[in-house]
Amino acid sequence: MNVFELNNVSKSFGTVRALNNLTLTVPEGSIFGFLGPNGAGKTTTIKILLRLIKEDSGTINLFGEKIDIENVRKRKRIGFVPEEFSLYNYMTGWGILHFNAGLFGKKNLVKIDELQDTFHLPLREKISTYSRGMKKALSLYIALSTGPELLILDEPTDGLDPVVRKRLLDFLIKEVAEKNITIFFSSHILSEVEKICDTVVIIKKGKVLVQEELDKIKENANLITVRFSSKIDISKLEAKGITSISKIDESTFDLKLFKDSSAIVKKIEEAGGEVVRKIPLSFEDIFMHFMEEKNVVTH
Amino acid sequence: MWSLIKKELKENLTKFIIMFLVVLGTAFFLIPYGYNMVSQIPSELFNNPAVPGWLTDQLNAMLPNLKNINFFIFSQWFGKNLLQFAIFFGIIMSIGTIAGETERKSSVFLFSRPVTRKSILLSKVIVVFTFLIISIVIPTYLLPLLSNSIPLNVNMRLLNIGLLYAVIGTLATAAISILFSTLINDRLKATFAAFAAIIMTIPMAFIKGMHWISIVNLYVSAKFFQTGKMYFPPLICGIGIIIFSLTASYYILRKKEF
Repeated sequence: MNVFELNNVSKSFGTVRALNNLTLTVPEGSIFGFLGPNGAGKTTTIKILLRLIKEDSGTINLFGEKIDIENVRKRKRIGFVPEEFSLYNYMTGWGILHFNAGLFGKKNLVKIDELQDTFHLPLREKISTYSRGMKKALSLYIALSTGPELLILDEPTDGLDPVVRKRLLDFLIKEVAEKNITIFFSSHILSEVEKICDTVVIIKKGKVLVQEELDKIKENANLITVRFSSKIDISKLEAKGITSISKIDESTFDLKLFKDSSAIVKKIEEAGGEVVRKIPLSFEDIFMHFMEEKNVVTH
Repeated sequence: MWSLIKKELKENLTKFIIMFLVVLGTAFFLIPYGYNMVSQIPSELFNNPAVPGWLTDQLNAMLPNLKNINFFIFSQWFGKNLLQFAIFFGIIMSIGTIAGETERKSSVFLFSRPVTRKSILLSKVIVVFTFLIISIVIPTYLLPLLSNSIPLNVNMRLLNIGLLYAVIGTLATAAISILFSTLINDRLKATFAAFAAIIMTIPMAFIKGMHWISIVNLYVSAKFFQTGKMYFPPLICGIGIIIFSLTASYYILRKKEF
């Protein structure tokens, strides 16, 4: 079952098109990395999902049902850690947790002891005394304290110091391992996504460039070195649809491949070359490739 | 819903206490000091040759009326003190309802919870209206108690109807402010807009047949005082403003993006 689906969702703010026929499917139990540069449309997508903003066109299904602004029942199953929101500074940590639980119609808070073992927040203190990192951690407390089935994290580690950042990521990994929770992890920090996500979608200018299992993306992304017995003209290779070519010498070339390489290897062999080296590309290389390429859509 | 109401009570409590004490304090001073002073003014005071004749005539004509406790309460309490306080506090109490959440960015938290926008708005309206009603009703009923100690007999029918007008007027002010708070994200701008909208109704009321449009009429209900009969157009207008403003606020809030 899919936790949520977005079909051809578009959204514009004035003349700026934030989402451009975005289609996205998040399966249950996945740790879904939502990647893209700043302004790609990540936060807009999340806000649409939470009905904080309304799409111009397209359909959205959440837990198998079409969502409506005043149908809030499904939202009880979601925990949300925003990129940045202000909490009520006059409330204490406990105060906001209980207030939030009340809005979810729940009397008991879950996970707080475990979270406290990791973050040690002064929950009796007012939120106004919390640092930015503490507020971010408190957002995670709020999101997990109601036992969500879907946890939406929007740049959860943005602006955090390395210690809190590591604690937060480790906690999420532990949480996923223990419980069948779906995590929608929006970030532009590649190392984090690589560390915890099993599926990745990369978006740019509101359009999906790729949606694939992370292992599969990495498996298909390689740097191969090909050698020809004699001098070869690059244009001949380009004519065969082989791109991203770096010349080492007259007969040796490096190629960056991001899809199933067997077809290209076959073309190289037909042209009289052989693969002498194959090195997996880093996730950063993969991401940069998609950022440079236009309108690559693979589902 | 109860969680939302508790939050609103907590958020507005300080404002309410200040407002309540200001109105209560004024009520305490109005009869023992204000009325006593007026009632003790000798009529010779207005025969001062330094005062122009036309003014002397007016003051002399008004003085017996002011010495009537019912007229005094109507003109001074409803028509002056309560009108000023209620419009001022009605705006101050209500202007932060939605604009406050947007301005401090807590709206993303609040509106992403599993509660309807209707519940959020309703909880805010309930708390603001309750605080405003308490702030008007209790000090107003204090007036006959204080008058009894003088002793003077206040016409309770006049007081009750005057209070009804004032409550509707205050709630209409608050409802207009809530509408602007929903429309404009900046609290200061929303405050000015609400003030402007309320003030604009005053000159509009001078247009023939449009007397009912001004909220001020709900406080200075001279026609009612003169005739002793309920004057319905301002009352209906006030209730209409409340219903329209709150309904419009809800539909704007439904469409609002955070």
